[in-house]
Amino acid sequence: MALILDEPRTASCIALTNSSLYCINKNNLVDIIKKKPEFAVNLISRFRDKLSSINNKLISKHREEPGIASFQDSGGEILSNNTLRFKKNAIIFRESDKGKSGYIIKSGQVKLVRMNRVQKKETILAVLSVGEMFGELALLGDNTRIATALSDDDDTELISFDEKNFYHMIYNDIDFCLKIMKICCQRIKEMNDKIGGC
Amino acid sequence: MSAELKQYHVEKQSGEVLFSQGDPADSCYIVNEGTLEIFITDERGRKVMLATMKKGDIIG
Repeated sequence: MALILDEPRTASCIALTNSSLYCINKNNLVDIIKKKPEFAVNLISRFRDKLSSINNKLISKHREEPGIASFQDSGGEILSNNTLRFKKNAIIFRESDKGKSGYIIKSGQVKLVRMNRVQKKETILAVLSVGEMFGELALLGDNTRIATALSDDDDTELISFDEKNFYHMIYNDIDFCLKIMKICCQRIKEMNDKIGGC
Repeated sequence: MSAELKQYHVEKQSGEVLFSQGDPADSCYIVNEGTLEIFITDERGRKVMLATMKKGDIIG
């Protein structure tokens, strides 16, 4: 993760037994992904599992329950076959929903949150702005949304993409693939910070 | 996949440090065999174990 985020190590690692490892630097990582894109898909799937696991810890720490307090399921206004517009506080998707689309923010802002139905309180996992992507993690694994996405602007326009587009981009566009990996690592780091992990 | 990874193979002896907190991150590692421990050193200098890594796990 530190390699992808280009940050110093946040922890140490020591061999407890004689160990055999594969050591991959950044250039090698790009070469491997170019030759074997499925390696990247495997890595991204592991990141997603890690995100789900941290998310669950976050829920138990905040004693949250899935559900929505005061936000509206207004749905988006369809501008074209892959562009949608949402008003402020409109729900783009709910945690635990099955999702078949990822989104890129064309204008406005989006909050990824966990909701506490009892306290009517939200825990913000991330605030995303123009050019950022979200919802793509549901396209890996079992399609379950791990957070709720809300529009945080009165004019949030989103470009949606489906699983087929997503995998096509991962397999054919190394920059997109590295971007997805970076997004996963950043979210893992942000969420780890929230639960007081490292 | 292991055929492609063969050229990146390294060995570490028991007790050998793979990397330390604060080091620049120039590589990541895939465990092929053995057990490794991830830990931090807190502000009082105490070691806090975070995870044990085994075959198939990715470190760093």
